[in-house]
Amino acid sequence: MVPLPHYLIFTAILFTLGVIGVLTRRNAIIIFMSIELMLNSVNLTMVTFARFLDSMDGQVAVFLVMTVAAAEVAVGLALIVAIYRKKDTINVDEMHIMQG
Amino acid sequence: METVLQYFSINPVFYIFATLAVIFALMMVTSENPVYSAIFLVLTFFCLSVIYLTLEAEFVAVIQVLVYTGAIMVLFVFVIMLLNLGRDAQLTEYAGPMKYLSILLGFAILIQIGLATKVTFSIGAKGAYPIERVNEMGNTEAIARELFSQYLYPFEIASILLLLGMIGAIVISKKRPD
Amino acid sequence: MSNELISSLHHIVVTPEFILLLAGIIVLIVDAFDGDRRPWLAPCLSLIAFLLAALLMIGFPESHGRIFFQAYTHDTLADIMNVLFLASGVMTVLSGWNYISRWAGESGTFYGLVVLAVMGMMLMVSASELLTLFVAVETTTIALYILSGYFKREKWSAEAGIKFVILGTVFSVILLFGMVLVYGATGTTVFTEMVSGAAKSPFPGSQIVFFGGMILILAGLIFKITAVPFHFWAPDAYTGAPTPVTAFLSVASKASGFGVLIRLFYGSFNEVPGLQSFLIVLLVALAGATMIVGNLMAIPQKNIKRLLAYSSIAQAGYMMIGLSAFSEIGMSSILFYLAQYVFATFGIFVVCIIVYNHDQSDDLTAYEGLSKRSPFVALVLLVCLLSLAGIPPLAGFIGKVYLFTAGLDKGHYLLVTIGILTSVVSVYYYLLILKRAYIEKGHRQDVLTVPHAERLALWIAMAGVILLGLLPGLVVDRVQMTGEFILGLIK
Repeated sequence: MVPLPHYLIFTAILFTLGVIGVLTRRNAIIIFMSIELMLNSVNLTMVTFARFLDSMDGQVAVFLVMTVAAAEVAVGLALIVAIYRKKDTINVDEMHIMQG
Repeated sequence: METVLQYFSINPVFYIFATLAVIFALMMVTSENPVYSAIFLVLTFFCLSVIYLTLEAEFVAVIQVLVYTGAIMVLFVFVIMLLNLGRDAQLTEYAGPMKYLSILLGFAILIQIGLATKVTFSIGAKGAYPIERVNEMGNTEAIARELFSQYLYPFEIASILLLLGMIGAIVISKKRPD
Repeated sequence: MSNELISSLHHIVVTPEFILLLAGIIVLIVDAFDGDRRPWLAPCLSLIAFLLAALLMIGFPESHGRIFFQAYTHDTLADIMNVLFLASGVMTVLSGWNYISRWAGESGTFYGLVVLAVMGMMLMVSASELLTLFVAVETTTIALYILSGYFKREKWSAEAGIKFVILGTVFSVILLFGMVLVYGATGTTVFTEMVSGAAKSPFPGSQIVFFGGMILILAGLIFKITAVPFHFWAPDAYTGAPTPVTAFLSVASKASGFGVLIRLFYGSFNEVPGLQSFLIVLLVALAGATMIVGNLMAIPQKNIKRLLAYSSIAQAGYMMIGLSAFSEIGMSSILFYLAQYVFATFGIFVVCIIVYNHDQSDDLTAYEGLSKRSPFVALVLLVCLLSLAGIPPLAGFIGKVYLFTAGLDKGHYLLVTIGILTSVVSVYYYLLILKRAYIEKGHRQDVLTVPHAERLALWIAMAGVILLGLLPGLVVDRVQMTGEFILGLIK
């Protein structure tokens, strides 16, 4: 069987890629996709722990996290559509309301 | 490295699909076109689903494909198509010092977690579902037992959450007379 | 079905959460069918729901306990926090009565969402299991995302909404990551069982993973209470949201974050060796930074909502003094401070709403000559601002003294000094607003009319601030009992 650290390192790499995506990309949709990647890596960590802990809690949690992800994506994408209708862009840097 | 190769001969599936998943994830993060990003993310999710199988979490593997690739990613692709972002896509990337800082930050997290796994790490108390028992009753039944007893309460809250998500999508994207 | 489940289901139907769930759905349905003809129905129903829930809590005080396999804890902490959430719910409904229907449209859905958001906050504070906590946090935040993107006519509302959603989701993932690490290190998701798991583990590696998980959970919650270093979303989100939602965010959302922090870090984890001393150092540093950043950044602001956003960041810093004390008095001082903060903040925001309804402006210049246009509104602004600044004999003064005492008790002298100095700074920018309202002559002379709902809200806010200042004993006894109770659980 594959040892636990290998799984954890793999999920850490995925999580890092997600973080890099969120921080460097400026397209709101791709940012959301990167967040999905982060969530997935957390899900995998959870199932890994569940397997190595002989418990089911982690797998149940994945089920609930997917529910949460679906609802969040629905709201987030709806907002993206609303903004695109108004401003013709989904680049988060062009949304400036920042004044310090 | 030797240990990885040694494990590879025992269980090549994990290493093959883990590598693939990382490559696809990298391409998702870097590709210019949101449609390609979405496709690479779908491929990443497929690889993850195989990795769930190596963990003997069959139910999770199935809903990973059904819910993530089947529902959530379709929603993404739908919005990309709806807004017609496929071609021009406003891809003015942000290339300030922040970019390098954030890559640095990402690797800091990576190294940190790698270190955490290096330390003699023992996970907590064993639970009530060793793999033999789960195989005996079936993975789905084991999840259902937990979900509808111990986790009934968060499960019910999740239903409210879905209701809110639905209301939100309708309220926000509905066109209103200005 | 097991006995535990059956008794849990019997129990849950008499909780305020259940009433609010039903009420939220009823409001949404009623509005869908009858919202156009009877627009007053939705706010009235939500007010009735809040009052019913409050009555229920007074009527069934013996309903304390842990149900659903320890996923839901109903205790005095949950009671006090629930009262705060209900109060801010009532104030949100009153302050949105005219504003939402005039500027945002679709008013009925708004009230349904406020009711459900209040319910989500109650679920957060009473959650005593990680998964439940996560799902409850998400329920609340999704309701808040929708509410803050609600104001589509104002051009940056949706933008503030999307920034809030992106950052909020990232921090939810961080929170979840922390929970996963804690689960991995302890093998359980129930708070009380986690303690024994973490404290007994002989491996230093598990301790590190557990600590890491706790820090990530703390980061997720610090985002909720808008403390440094994760405060940067607040000014944008607060400015872009409809003003009643801004008030709701800065009071109830912050209170829910503090509720969860108290539940997590006070009740359970004192026994884990090293965790508390580490958290004290961390929280003291963050509290100091939060007070300084919040108060200094508030000075140059020209928009009242932005100014209040920074001021509310600073207020979170004051409350973190109580948090970092890790004592009975620290905890009760947070609860008292939150209680008076509800009234003071809503008082100011209702004034903002009244001015906005007249002038369509959130600029500070719109407040010039306010005392001539409506002496009553200006008086409420005066009382509430002075209370936030901590001027005796108002409630904010008692609250700050209480918090500082908690800090001094534990020897955090530097932190309390920073608190006092930054309070002086805050007096400066609050007085600038009051100077505009009382001394400067505005170019608008028309009288501000105050509709009934807003008038009621103003009276409640002013009465709350003055009463809590003159008779703090009304609440202090109660919060002290809670402090003893929560800490008594573990000693």
